[in-house]
Amino acid sequence: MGGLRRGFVLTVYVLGFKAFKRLSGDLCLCGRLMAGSIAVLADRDTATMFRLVGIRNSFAVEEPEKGRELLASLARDEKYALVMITYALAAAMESLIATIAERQERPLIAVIPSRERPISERIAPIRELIRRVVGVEVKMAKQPTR
Amino acid sequence: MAVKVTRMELFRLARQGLLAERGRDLLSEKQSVLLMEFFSYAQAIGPLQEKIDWMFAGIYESMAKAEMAMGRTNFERASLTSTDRFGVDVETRTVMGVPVPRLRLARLSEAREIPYSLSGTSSSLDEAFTRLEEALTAVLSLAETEFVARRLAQELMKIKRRINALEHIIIPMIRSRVRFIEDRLSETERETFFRTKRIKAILERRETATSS
Repeated sequence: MGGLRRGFVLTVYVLGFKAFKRLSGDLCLCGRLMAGSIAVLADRDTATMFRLVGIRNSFAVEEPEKGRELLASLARDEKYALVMITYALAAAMESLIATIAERQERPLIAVIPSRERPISERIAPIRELIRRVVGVEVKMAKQPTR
Repeated sequence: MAVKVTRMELFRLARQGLLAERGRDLLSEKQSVLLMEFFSYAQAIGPLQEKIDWMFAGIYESMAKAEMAMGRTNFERASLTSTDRFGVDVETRTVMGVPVPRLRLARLSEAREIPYSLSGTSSSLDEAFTRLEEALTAVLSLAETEFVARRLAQELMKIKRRINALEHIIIPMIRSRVRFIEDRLSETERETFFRTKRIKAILERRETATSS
């Protein structure tokens, strides 16, 4: 009996109390399938294009301020599993994107390239994460493509 | 702080200290494994982004061609009649005990094969169309990878905090209590020893006084 209790206490130490409490819930949740839809935030032309190829929830956003409001309301909607934002727009709302990504399970936010800005330029968020985790700046060696 | 100075308490604290140390060791092991996992996800992001850039460049190009071929009005009109063709299936899995979603692209079954009316659309559109599915799959895995990296980072921070708490607060506190109790116990032991010696001496003196 004592050994069992000690084992539990050890588990609580390792996982932390909240995670320990959450654990039973997670075990039930595992493998459950949920469907969700995709939304796109883009400039007018790109949004039209995405609507045409089969993503109906493509929103045309011209000003960054409107984009932030729209993104916030999409994030509140449980319906969406993925929100894609063009890089040109995303650059203006990185902090909102980070907040949503850190606090919510859903929707996931993906930054996609816009016509003139490729996303391989966008390394800042992940570098920031690494800096926070390791405590020092780590330069990721660029891997040779092919 | 009131510490009970008993042998029982000493045993209890010593056991607690061992437990805390073992917890700390386990945590730091978990931390290093998580760190490796985190880096493998973080490293995957760059190449994925390049791949997506490349895929979308192709899509944008063929869409531009289609727009030119169809004319802007037609293009926009066709976009209004299109139906939703893709959905996402979300499944929960755990990476190192951290719950994360796994996304899979789902073709919606009720959607017709081609979501736009065939009249007045161009072949470049079909091309963009087939490419998009691949591109979306890549985007999903990018979103997922970024999400997992972020969650692992959060988890790592939490573990770091917990290790620090154990290392710098809980374990030293338990140790100082153990030392305190040990000191007090040995102090009382010495006192008792000295007292018995004293009593013995007094008794002996009394004995010699009565015998003589």
